[in-house]
Amino acid sequence: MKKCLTLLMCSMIIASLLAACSRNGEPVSGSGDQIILDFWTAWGPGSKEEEIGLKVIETFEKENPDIKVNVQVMTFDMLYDNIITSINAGNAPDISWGLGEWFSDLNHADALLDLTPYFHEWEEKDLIYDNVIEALTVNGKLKALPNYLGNRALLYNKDILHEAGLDGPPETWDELLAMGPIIKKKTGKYAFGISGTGVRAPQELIMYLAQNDLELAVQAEEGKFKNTWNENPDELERATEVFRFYNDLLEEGVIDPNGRSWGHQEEDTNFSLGQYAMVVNGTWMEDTIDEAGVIDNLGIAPPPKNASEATYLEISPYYIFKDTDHPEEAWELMKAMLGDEYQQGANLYKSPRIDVKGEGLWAEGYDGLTEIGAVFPQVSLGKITNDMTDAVGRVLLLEENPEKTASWLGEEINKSLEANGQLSEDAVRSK
Amino acid sequence: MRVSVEKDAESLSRKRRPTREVKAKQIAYMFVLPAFLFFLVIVAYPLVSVIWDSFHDKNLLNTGDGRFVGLANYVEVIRSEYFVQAFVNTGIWTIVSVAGEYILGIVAALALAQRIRGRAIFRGIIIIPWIVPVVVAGLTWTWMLTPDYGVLNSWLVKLGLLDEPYYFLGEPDTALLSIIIVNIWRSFPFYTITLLAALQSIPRDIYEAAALDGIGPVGRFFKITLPQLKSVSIVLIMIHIIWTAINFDFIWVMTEGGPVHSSETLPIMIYRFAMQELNIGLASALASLMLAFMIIGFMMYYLYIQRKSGNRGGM
Repeated sequence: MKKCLTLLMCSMIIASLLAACSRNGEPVSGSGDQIILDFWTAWGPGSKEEEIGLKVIETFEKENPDIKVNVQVMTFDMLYDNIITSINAGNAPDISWGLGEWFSDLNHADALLDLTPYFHEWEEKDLIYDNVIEALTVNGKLKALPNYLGNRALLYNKDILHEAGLDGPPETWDELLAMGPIIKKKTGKYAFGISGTGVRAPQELIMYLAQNDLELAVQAEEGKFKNTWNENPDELERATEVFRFYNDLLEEGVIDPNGRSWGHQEEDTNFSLGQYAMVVNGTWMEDTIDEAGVIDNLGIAPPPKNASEATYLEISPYYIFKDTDHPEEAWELMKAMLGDEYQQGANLYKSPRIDVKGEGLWAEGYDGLTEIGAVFPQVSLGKITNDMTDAVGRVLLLEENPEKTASWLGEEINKSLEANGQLSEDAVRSK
Repeated sequence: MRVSVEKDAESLSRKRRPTREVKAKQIAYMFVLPAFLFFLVIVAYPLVSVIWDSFHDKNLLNTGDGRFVGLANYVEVIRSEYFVQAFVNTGIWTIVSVAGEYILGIVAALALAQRIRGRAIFRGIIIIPWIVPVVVAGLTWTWMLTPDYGVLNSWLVKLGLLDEPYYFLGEPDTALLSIIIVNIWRSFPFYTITLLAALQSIPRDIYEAAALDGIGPVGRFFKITLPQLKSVSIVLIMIHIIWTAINFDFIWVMTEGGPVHSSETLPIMIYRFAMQELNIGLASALASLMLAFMIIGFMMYYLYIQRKSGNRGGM
C-alpha cells in the first residue's frame, strides 16, 4: 500500500512538472480547436496604447471566435531579454511589439517570418509610407510591419523664449548655441535638454550625425557594412564636429550640467515641468505635456540643422516570429493593429499610415519629418548603441577630445561589425 | 543428499541477502539520490555548460555556430577596454560594502544589546531596510538622490552643504560610492541581528571580571567582545563577500553600471556581454574567470588559516 502511495505521489509530481514545461500557445486539452496567439507588448500601464489595443483585440476575438489572443505586457528591457531567450529556447511568441533597434538582431538570428506574400495581398498596403517599408525590408523580404513612427521634432516652451526676448526657435546648431547663454541669463533656465544615457542617447546622436551627412555604417556591394570615418578625413572632421557640438552645448551653458547623465525620463519630465526651454522629442510627449498643463505654451518646429535637415525616424515594429504555428492568424491580428481603430485611437500623430494624420499643433508640427528621417543601419546594434552612449559620455563626462571620441567610435563600430560577421570584405582586408 | 543440497542453497541465499548494514546504506543512498539529482541539474549542469561555452564561439544570433576557440574568449575579455576598471570596481564595491556593513552592523548590535527603553521596538525597526526588495530600495534611493526633485539634494542645499543640486548617480566620481552607501544601508541589519544574537551568548561574568580588573569599556570591547564574535564574524564576512561580489540587481537598478562604465562591476559586464552583445562565449569566459578569482581568494585564505594554525601547533 505504502509503495502504491509513493508511486502515485511520484507520478503526480512528475506529471505536474511536465505540465509546467508544456509549450506556450498550444491549445490546452479541453479547449477544442481554439488557436492561441501569444502577443508580447510593452504598453505603458493605463496608456492609450493599452486601452485601445485591448479593445481592438477584443473585437478581433469576437470576429474570430476560434482565435484567442494571449497578451503579455512587460517593460521594453524585459521584452528584449525575453524575446532573445525565447528564440534560443525555440519558444518565441507569435507576435511581439519591439524597438526598431532590435530589427537587425532578430533578422540576423533568422527569427522573423517573411511577410512579403501577405503584404502583397493586403489591400491597404499602399497606405504605409514607402521609406518605412523599405527600412523593414532585407534582401527583398519584408520582415516586420511598423506599429508607429517616432519622429523627432523640436518642442519649445514659448513662454521661456518670449521671456528671453527671442522671436522663435533656432533653425541651426549655431543659433541654438547662441540662444543658450541668453535664455540662461534672462530666465535662469537652461535652453536645451539632451539624453546622455539610456536608449535615447544613441537615437539623438544618430540624428546629429545625419544632420552632418554622416552614416554609422555604409553598406558595401556584398551587402555587408563598414564605418568609413577613419578612412576619410572629411568624414572624421564632420563626426568630430558632432561631438564638438555636444561639448559646446555644455561649455556654452546651453544644457544643464546634470543633464549630461539624463535618461529619457528626466529629459521628458523636466521639459514638461518647464524646467528648460527646448528639446528634440517625439509625439508621446503629448500626454505628459497635457498633464503638466503647459500645452498652451508649446511650439513645435523641425530640429535645428547643420549641414542638412534631418531627424531620427524611429520605426517601432511588430514582429511575427518564424516559428509561429499560426502565421495567417498572426498576420490578421497585425492587420487589425494597423487598422483604423487602433491607429486613430493610439497613434494619431505617429501612425505609419499615410491616411492617419490628425489635426492641430501636433499633426502640423510633425508633418513632413518622415521624409527627412534617418534610421539605424541594418546591422546588429547591441554593442554599437552602447558604444554610441559611451561616446556621448566620453565627451560630456570625461571631457575627452571630440576628435579622439569620433575616431574611437568609428573603430568600435567596425569591431562590432566584425564580431557579428557583418564587416565588409574590403574593410577586413585593409585591417 | 537432497537435504544437504537444500541446506547449501539456503546458506547461499542467506549469504546473498543484504545485511542490515548494506540495507541501511542503500536506503541512505535512496534518500540522497533526489538531492544528488537536484545538484546535477541545478548546479553542476549550468556550471559545466558555462565553462564549456567559455571555450566556444557562442553567440545568441548565430545559434548554429559554436566552434571551439580555445582561450580566445578569455583573451578578448581581458583585453576588453573596461575589464580592468570593472575588476577594480568589483574589488572596491565588495571591500567597502562589506567593511561598512560590518562596522555599522556591530555598532548597531552593541547599541541594541544595551538595556534601553523601547529596545524591542528598535530591534524590530532596524530590520526594515533588509526586508525591502532591492528594486524598491534601489528606485527609491535613485529618486531621493535625483538633483531635480530628490529630497536629499534639497536638504543638502538647504543646509548649505551644497551650493546647487548634485547628480550623485550621474557623475563618474560619485556613482559607485553612492550605490555602496545605499548597499550598506540595506545590508547592515543582517549583520546587526546576527551579531546581536552572538553578543547575547557571551557570558556576563567575563565582563564583570574584566571590569573588576580595571579594564574600561573600550578595552572590554577589543579584548572580550570582538574575540568572542570572531567565528560569527568570519562566517558573516565570507558570506557577504560572495553575495556582494556577485551582486547585480542593486547596481543595475540604480545606474546600469554607468555613467561611462564608472560603476560597472564584473557581473554587470557579464550581463552586457550576454544580453546586450548576445555573446554567450564572452559572458561565460568572464563568469568562469570570476569563479576562478573567488576560488583563488578563498583558497589563499584557507591556506593562510592552515599555516597559522600549524604555526600555533608547533609553538
